[in-house]
Amino acid sequence: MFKKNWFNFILFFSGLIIVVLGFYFAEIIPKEQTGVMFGIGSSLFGVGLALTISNIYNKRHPEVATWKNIQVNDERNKLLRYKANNMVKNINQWMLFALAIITIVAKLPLWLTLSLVGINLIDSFLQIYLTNKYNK
Amino acid sequence: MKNRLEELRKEKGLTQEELANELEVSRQTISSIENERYEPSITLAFKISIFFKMKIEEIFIYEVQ
Repeated sequence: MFKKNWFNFILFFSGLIIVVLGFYFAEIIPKEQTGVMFGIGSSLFGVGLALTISNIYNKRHPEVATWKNIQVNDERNKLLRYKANNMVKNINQWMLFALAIITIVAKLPLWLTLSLVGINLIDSFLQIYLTNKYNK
Repeated sequence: MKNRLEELRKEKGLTQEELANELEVSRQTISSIENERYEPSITLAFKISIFFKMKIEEIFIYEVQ
């Protein structure tokens, strides 16, 4: 728990520092870079703050923390999540395939079609690789 | 797979929620097992058998198809 809190504080403060640096260098560096700094900084700040608040809440309400823990680690819930993720992945793969065909029909640039086909291929290869890996 | 979970739980005078808390699973999992909509993992089956101090095959009835 102690290590977890430290990690959250590091996220929180590094986010804050990046946002402050973004403001400080706003006049010197290009707008795009300060935009990226604000984006990354505020994300880290937000995640760190949310995790810290969540940890404090869990410490004060152990019964809620136990309930949450059970819900996350429950074997049926895990199975449902795997099933849902798998279904989403399958739908995404078909959507990418459909998009690739649309790019051909709409005569869009070839690199766009090839990128979509490439993503689909990477997806298929990763699936084969991971299936073999987990099979060992 | 048929099982006697509901019967055993009621014998002990427990609610689904109470049994779920004892076994550290969700209430929905207990409900699904009782209604034969979900078959528990071997770990959970052992946990259930230890909780009721019975053999797994006395709780879960395997029927050869």
